Amino acid sequence: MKEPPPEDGLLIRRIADGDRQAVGILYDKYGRLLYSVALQLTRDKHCAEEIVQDVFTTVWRKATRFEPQKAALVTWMMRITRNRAIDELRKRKSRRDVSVGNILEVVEEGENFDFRNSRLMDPESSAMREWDRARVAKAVETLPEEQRVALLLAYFRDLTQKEIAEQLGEPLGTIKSRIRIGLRKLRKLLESSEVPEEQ
Amino acid sequence: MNRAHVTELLADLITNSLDSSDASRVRRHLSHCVACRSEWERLQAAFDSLGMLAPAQTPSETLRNRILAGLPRRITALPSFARGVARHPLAAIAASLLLLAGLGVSITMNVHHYTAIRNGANFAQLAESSRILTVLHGTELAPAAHGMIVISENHSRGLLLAFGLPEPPEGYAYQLWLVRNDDLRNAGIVRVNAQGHVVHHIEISEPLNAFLNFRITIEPATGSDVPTGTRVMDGSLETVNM
Repeated sequence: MKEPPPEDGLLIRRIADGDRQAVGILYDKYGRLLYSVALQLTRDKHCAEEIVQDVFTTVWRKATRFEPQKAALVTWMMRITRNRAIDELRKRKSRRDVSVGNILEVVEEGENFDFRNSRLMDPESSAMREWDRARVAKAVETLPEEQRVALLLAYFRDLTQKEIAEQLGEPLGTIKSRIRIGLRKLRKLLESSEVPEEQ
Repeated sequence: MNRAHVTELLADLITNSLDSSDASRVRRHLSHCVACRSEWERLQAAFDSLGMLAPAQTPSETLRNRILAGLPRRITALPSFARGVARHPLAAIAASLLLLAGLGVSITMNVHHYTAIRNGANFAQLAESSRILTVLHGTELAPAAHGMIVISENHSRGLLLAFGLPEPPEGYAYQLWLVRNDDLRNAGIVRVNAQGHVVHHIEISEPLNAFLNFRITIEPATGSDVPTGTRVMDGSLETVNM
């Protein structure tokens, strides 16, 4: 039986010590997730792969700077991925798709994917990924729809609060409140270790 | 800027909705307010977790091998300044010292630094006998900062050179720490001149090569016994092949 992958803390220490094999293991755990984030933001497969390659190179270079008390390793890598994707979008001045219906479909589309059938992930990583996704999805679903939409537009379409207000035809102050309150609620929900109950 | 005001602006900062001046003010506040920084990190982590909702897609099967094959050698994985140091450490150190002297850094340094800079022979001696180099990178609070620590061959002395550090907030100073596993050593308050340059001598009672990591944090102006503030620069030990 295949051994489960090492924990993230051990992996990042091995990478900091120059262990290239640990980068491969980390890729097996999170490569697909990071690619999915990059692709959702850029809508360009080639670009998304380049971004993922950059992310793992950054992790390799900056492993000693990772501070586990600030964020989980996967959160840190997702932040690098998103920042890199946004840089790419701004460089290309890509037109951003901002329709409200579309942004909610992002979440619905993700719910239909069966991670257990993934060829590139070991069973334990698949299960963890599925659990993480379910945890975040449950928390997001708990938010009122208007808060959910505002946060998803900010994250996946890189829209500022002003741009969201313009796109939704709402006052800026309303959008600010939705994002501020929604983000605080989301933080509280995610910091509780359990998956929220169905409403 | 009071703490409540910053707290109200954290969501704006995270969603990139502040103008550059307000964003700088908030970041400055975060650099020394532990409570606001903690709140920001937790909110930022919640925002980042939204990426988990991206519909799963499969990259090409060759990506893994391309990533592993493309990992740079550690010593080349450095900013341009540091790459120069790695290739030509003696020349880079000499150039750095000339640059510092040319920029009048000594004018704003304390007496200890001033004496050291004036005494070129000491620096040349240190540089010639140096084999170990630590490259320091700025964190997100000081993204333009870069620097290096050169350690003498007998590991008894070190020299920190850094550039691009912003002035610390009023009432605060930068402090250098040497890190060995969970063990930290205070390596002194680091003074920054008006151009953001630093020259700092490191002398402690233990061999410097025993420490694998080096970091600079923001601390109260009188210094701290242990790090209490945000990290602005850090780096790990590298050995330079000369």
